[in-house]
Amino acid sequence: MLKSKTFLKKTRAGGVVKIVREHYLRDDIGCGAPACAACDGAHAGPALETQPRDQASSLCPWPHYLLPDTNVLLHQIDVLEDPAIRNVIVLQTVLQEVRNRSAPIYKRIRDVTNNQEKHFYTFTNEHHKETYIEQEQGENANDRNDRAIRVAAKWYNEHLKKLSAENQLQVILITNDKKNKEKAVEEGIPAFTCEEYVKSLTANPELVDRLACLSEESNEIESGKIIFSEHLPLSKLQQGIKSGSYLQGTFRASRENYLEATVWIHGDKEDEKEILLQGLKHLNRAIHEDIVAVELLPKSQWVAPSSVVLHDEGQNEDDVERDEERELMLKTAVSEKMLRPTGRVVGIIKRNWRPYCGMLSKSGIKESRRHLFTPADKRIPRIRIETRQASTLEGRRIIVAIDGWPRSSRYPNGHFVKNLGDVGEKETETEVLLLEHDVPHQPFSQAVLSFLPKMPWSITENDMKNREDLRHLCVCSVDPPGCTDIDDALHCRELSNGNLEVGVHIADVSHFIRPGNALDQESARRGTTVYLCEKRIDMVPELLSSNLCSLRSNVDRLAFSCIWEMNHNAEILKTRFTKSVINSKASLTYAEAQMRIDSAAMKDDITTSLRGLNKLAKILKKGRIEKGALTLSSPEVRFHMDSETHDPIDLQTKELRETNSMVEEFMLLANISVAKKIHEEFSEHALLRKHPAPPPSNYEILVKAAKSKNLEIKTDTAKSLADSLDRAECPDFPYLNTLLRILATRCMMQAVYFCSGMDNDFHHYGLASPIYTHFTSPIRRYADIIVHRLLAVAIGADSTYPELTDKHKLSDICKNLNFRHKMAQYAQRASVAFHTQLFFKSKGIVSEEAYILFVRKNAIVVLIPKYGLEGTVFFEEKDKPKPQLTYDDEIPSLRIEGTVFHVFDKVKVKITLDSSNLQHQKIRMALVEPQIPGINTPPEVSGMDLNGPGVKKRKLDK
Amino acid sequence: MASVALSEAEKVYIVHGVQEDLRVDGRGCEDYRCVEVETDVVSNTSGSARVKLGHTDILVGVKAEMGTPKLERPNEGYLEFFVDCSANATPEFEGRGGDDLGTEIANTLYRIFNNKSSVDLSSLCISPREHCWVLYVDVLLLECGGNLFDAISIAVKAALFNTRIPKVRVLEDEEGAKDIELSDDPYDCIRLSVENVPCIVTLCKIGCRHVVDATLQEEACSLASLLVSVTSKGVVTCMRKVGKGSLDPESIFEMMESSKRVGKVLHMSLQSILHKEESLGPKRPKVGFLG
Repeated sequence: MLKSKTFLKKTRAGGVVKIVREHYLRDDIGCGAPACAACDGAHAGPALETQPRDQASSLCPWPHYLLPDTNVLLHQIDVLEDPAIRNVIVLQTVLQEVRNRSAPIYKRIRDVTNNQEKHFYTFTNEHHKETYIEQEQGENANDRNDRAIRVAAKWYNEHLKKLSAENQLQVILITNDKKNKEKAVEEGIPAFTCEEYVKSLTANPELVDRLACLSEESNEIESGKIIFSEHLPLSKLQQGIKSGSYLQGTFRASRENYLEATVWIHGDKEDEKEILLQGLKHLNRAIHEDIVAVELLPKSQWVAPSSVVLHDEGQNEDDVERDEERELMLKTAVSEKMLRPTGRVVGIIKRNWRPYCGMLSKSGIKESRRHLFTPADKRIPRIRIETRQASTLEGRRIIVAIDGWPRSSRYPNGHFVKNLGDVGEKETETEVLLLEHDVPHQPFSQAVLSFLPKMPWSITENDMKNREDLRHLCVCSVDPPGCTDIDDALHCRELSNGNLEVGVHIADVSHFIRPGNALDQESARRGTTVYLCEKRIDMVPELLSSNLCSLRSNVDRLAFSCIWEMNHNAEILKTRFTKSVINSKASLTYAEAQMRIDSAAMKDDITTSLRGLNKLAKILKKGRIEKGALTLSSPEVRFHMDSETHDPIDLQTKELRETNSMVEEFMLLANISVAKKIHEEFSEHALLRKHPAPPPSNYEILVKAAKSKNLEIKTDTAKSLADSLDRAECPDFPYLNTLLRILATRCMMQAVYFCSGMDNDFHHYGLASPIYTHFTSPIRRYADIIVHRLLAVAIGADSTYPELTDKHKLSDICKNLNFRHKMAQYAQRASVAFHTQLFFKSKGIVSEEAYILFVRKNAIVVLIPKYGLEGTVFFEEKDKPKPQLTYDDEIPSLRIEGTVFHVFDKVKVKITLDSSNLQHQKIRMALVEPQIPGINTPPEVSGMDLNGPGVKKRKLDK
Repeated sequence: MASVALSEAEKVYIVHGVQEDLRVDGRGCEDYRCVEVETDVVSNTSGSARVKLGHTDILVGVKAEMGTPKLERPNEGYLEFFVDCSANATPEFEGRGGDDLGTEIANTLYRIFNNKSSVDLSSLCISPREHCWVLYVDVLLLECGGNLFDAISIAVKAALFNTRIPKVRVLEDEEGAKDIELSDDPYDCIRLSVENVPCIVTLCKIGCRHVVDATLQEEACSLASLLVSVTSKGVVTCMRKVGKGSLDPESIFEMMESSKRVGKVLHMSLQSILHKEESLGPKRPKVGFLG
């Protein structure tokens, strides 16, 4: 039967169009109940259970199916995902509405319906002859959908009655809409609210916690005080944005101060700017990453970003006054030019809420069911949740989702989702940091694994097509110790004409990962391999990363080679790219390679090759530095792990050998050569990497800091920066140069991937190269796979595919890669931080020398070179008299009770692990030297000196 | 225009017949052929109608789109006419063959609607000077069987009667920025009053008499005809002479009188049939193009 559906739609241009769609109704759609004779065979397999009796509900003890409406699905997905909830009928109407309103929830519900265990059945009621309804006069779309749901529920009940008289199967409508429920009951459909139903499940009391609390009215009565101003409706916001009275931007909460945030105004032109928000009321319930509309305040109310570090520690609602007090504290007198455009949030355009990891701070009142939840991410406000299992959840990492933020509430309301495990447990913490940084870390799905080559694998005739046999070359790889994903190998030999042939051989991952298949999609999604301290989250399945693609020694491996002919001055005479087969003669570590080069006795092929490479690399590096490449520094730490417990037993800053820079130099050269080649071949859709020059204002901190030590840092070009950094030496302070380089690193911009057709600035600032890309690590970076494919097409070794030459698709890939790389970096840092904590936990209290990196209004940030550890020393503590603090922004310096702190000053700090606050275990640093009365504690020299026990020493040498 | 070739004897037969108030198909001089009207035949238009008058077959679709009011009439919407002469109607229309006729008909339609009384254009205004509804009236000639103008005007009136324009609201904030909001109830719409929409009555001078609703054969016998647009109240809104021949003033008056007479009856039966069709509701079985 054919029906046509007509609806009106507003177009983007403001017009109104009438759209007519054909709509077919059928009479052969099954109801999903396996025992139903009427619908026998109408659906593939039984989706619902014949006798759903495990849900022991006190409200409806007889067997029943559930039929939730749209809002229940949208808000209570966490409950529905619980294994206790089964036998649910999801209507097409509901599914479509969910899809229109929230893509992530739609995806989750699809996953649930695909899970056989859950017995969810999707009923296409819109195409069923008896459940399809047309919108009636005077009925809006929502009313119509509600009616459609009721009609379907009614149909189900009547339909199941026919099934068999004795087992009274019922379908229960779950709706939170009061009117809808009333109407349903009137029509004879058993209906309950989600809360009623879940509470009636006496066998599963923990489900109640997962209920989203949406009863806003009840909260309103409780504390009638309105704290926040109302959010304007979307239509008003859009008008305001159009007329320019409001600005749209992404809300970014400050990590250091919960009363402050910035909004990045979206703009495609140069006018991208930042608006400062200060004070709870002006933040107006926006949460990190939300898209908000802000209104600029008049200039007289503009403020400067405060340099105070503030954490929200309040426990109850009455803290609003104290917050106000604290807000006042931010508004200290500042010079005119420090003022930034300041605004307030008038409305939310799009919420970007996600489930947050964190911990419960149990309410002080016994028996209380309401507790505050403190997210691990400091930019997320605390969330109020209701739970009865507070005592079991205490001290555990949990996941909580936000449900809403009423105007009268100081904190947003949320509900408990998942328990991750005990705090401090390594697995739990790793899980938390992976979740928090959105790192996809589930095991690879069957679909993905199905695209792996079959083992045992060998090189076939077919593989040899378009491939050069380079197995005779003396290729070797140099990597950090313990590396199993070797993606690069090198060789160097003298040619008969006296020139040198240098080859960089990169694992040919694109040979195994074919475009478009599940394996490709999954790697594209992951974007990069994430290295944590004790764990590696692979971008490609292990078979590839550690075996087939890893260029291990003495096995034949497929490679993509970049081969140069160079003279002895490292000038490139010829560049050649080819797919190849290699057989690495040795997998060396940096130390082993260094040893071979240094020991005069060794004269074998590999060593000669290494020496040649090393010589060329030195020349290349010199040339690069002359061009203005920056040598920056960041304190990097490696942990020595106990082989059994995987606890860190020692840490050590990374040691740099000549061989490190040798490999690096050739990788850079290969990347640059490939970048040139693919850009030449595909000017519009080459995937390149750029590093924008930082705006001069970024350097302010560096220049000021150097000035305080009477050094001059020039920042007009990369070259002058590099030179002035080289010159910035202080004979009695050798570490100063490293500190300056660390600071300079902080001034840099992020390097990003981009598509050449979408940008015209290709320059890589840090490497001082006009063009750059990533080619050398396809096992752990997806960008390299794309570059491999482009290069393969350019040399005619592989065929192209449409997405490869679509610059918009490519640009989307770049966007994802940039995001994943950033997140991977953050996750890595978080992992290091966590292991540092574990390390100091075992160490006890340690006093160490440190240098001041930054000076803040009430704190100093110090760096401990020995551990590469950075931390903040606070000078204001609770329950202690406040010391006299004078902050000078110009120099910058901080005067405390007569002692002045400048950047780079040497201090001594005491490092302890602060476990008093279980929310965030952190490394706490306290000042030991110089001594300021009332500030520092006497240095407690514990016996646990770091270099003490010889056991660790031995491990270090190993 | 589509025409048939007649022999002299055939013409004489027709002319003599008219003289006796007896036409070839048995009608009197002021009788219309049977008119078939069906509205709401094209679902993706705002309003549509199909009219069959003898062998003449016309389809009219009205599409409401948002536009800006004309400068000289800031408080009114407007109508746009377009006539497509399908080559289905007659092979002569193939290619650009029908363009001249199409333009002629469109111009005639513009003329008969070019007065304040026929359609209340101010009801089409959404916000003065900024937004108004523009009704695109598209006429499609499916078959030509004589008396095109009358059939088209009937179809246009029926289509306008059927037209439903979505209701929109103009929201205005304090700063005067305007935004248009669309009601999400598809039944919430405005309708045009077609009370005063005129119909064309074409009178063909044959011999010394005139006939209404001439067939193709009769048109071939006529040298001049008069298009008179008449409202349901009998008001003449526009008049035009077509054809090579001339008309003497006296017969023009005569023709006008009869057009008023015929027009009133025509309007009356059209109105009643349209209301009757509507009273059947949206569930009425549709005839469409297969009937």
